[in-house]
Amino acid sequence: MANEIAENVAGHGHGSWVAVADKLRILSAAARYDVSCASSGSSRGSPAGSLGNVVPGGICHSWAADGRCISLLKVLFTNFCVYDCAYCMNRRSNDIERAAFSPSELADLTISFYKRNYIEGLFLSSGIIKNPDYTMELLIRCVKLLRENHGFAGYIHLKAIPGADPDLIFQAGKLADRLSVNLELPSQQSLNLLAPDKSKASIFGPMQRIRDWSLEYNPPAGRQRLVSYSGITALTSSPARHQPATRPVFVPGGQSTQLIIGASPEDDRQILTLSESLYKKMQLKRVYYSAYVSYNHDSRLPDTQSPPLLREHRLYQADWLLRFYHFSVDELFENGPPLLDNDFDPKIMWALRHPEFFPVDVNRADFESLLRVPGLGMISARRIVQARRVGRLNIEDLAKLGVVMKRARYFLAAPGSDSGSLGLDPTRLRQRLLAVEPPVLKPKQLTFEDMTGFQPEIFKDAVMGQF
Amino acid sequence: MQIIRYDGSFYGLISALVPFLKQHRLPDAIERENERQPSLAVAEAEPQTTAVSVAGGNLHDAELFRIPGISRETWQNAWYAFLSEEKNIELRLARYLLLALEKRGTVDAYQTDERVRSIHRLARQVSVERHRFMGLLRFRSIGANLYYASISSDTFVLPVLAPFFVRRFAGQQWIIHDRRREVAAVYNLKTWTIIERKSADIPPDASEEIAAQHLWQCFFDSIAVRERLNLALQQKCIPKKYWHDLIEKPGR
Repeated sequence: MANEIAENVAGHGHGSWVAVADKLRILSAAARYDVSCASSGSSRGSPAGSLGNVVPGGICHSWAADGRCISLLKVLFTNFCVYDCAYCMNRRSNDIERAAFSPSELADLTISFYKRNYIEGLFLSSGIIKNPDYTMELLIRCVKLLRENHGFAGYIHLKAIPGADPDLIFQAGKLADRLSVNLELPSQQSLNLLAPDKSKASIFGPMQRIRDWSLEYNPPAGRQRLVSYSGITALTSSPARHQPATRPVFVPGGQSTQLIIGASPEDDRQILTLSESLYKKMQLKRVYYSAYVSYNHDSRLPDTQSPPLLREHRLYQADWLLRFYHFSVDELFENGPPLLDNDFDPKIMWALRHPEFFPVDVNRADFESLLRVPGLGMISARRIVQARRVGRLNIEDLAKLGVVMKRARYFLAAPGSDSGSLGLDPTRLRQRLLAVEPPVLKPKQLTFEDMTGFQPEIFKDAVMGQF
Repeated sequence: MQIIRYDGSFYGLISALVPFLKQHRLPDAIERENERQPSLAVAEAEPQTTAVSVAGGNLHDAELFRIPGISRETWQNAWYAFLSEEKNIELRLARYLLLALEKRGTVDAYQTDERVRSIHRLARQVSVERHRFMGLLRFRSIGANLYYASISSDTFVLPVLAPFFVRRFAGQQWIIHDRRREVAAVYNLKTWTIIERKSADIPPDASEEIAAQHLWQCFFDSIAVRERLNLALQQKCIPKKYWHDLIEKPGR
């Protein structure tokens, strides 16, 4: 049956919009557990005659009923799949409604949404129809229509289908802003158990290739490319002269991946160690964490009543510490269990285990040390550094700068502060902090826009920032 | 008693203020002659120019803004704060700019000073609302390659919002109608301008437009993860005041 549909899909048949609505309903529902929706990290101008552009910070266009940002038209090309992964709602053995777009249908839909400013672009993933190569070709055909026929210069996030031919992945990377290969499970054992059709190699292989191509095509500023596009060593000494007028790009927005949290037994430390190495070795821009929602009844899976949202939230916070606050995983879990604290965010958890580091002197400490203070974010730390250049800061000044003192007051030393008299006894501090912790947690994906004092340029730095 | 009158535009305000600033003093009061003169603030910018070039300085004499001690960042803050339309914004700006002259380029570091703090706060308010509308604004197709959007913003974001859409939708003609202020930004494929526009007589949606809206609502409903329903968070991200002009229906 999948084959019949595949033939149908490959054609350019246009259904009425009611038929498209049906497909859209099925295929967006099928894509909703993929958490990535960022339209950030890339930048694309709009040459004359083209439609749209990409802003580095990304833009949220709406928020769905689950509170998550909608930035891209996030759909599967098809939810037919030849694989049978235990955790996946689209697995072969599930009896669900199936559908597939045609490339032109989906391209037209994207353009129609984009022109009305509903979206930043397209997030396109897919079940495996026939085989990985065939699937990847269909995705490429759709994206090619967008880029070439519609002159679309908005954001495109494509899935690299594990097992697809490297040439196809390369083609996809030339068209997309971001590519992602989903790891889904944090270890080989879990993959063997829950996704027998996938292997670690089929995931890390394309990830490595994407990284290498990306390094080749987007050299860091000031570094000269050693190998030219044709593979011949460039001998010219003038990088400026060597740069073509329009530099070919390869996934300017880098690559990302996703891990399912709670479907397999790995602890937080193992998960974050994996993320850390993905950031460092694979140069990923983002690792997404997706609290496992149990929709399949499978003896290999835990039968959870509700998704572990708090754990997911804490992992995002810790991930943030890794990427922007110069923490390492070893530091975070030093002197403690390999699990993040349920009661406190990971920064407080770390602070409570390191009383020797505090209090931090507001007027003397360097930027990095300020960033380690619970309650101080990038923006507050930056404001402190800026403001103290023109005068000593006392505790009232901090409030004027918009620094939230609820937590920070226990860890900061400034003229007029009482942190000294309170002492930094971890047990007492824990009590005090628990008292100010909000009782109800609202899990969410952290974004810079949520922070008070949102400044686009800092946001841009942070988003573009390398690990 | 020295009272400045100006035409309601940012350029007009600065022109009137500069003589005072140069003598390091403040007027006693500043009064607007008109309610609002947006066209004088932005005028007709080239499609590719960014609004960051201060307040349409490309049309007016850019020399006016070249004052030693007042940095580009400071002008940018002043311009955005002006658009907040906060009461007495003119005098607050005058105090801020005077301090900028005194501090010779470092004024924005004095974030504990009320004169700086309030301007930064207002500028941020405008910047945040602009960023919101970059995402929440919804165009409807109302003719051949002609699109219409209506907004009702707390601050006067239109002059800094329109250039974003000029870049993004350079190949579409569009109108962004600020219902609260009864003005509209109009882009005709070459230039954009802000005109007065009381109410919009928009034709009823054509079938293609209805289909697009239906498809969007369908996507919006089905992308939410049921198991993670969080309407409070949704409402925090899209405050109710913005719901009126959306195509999708939050809150269910």
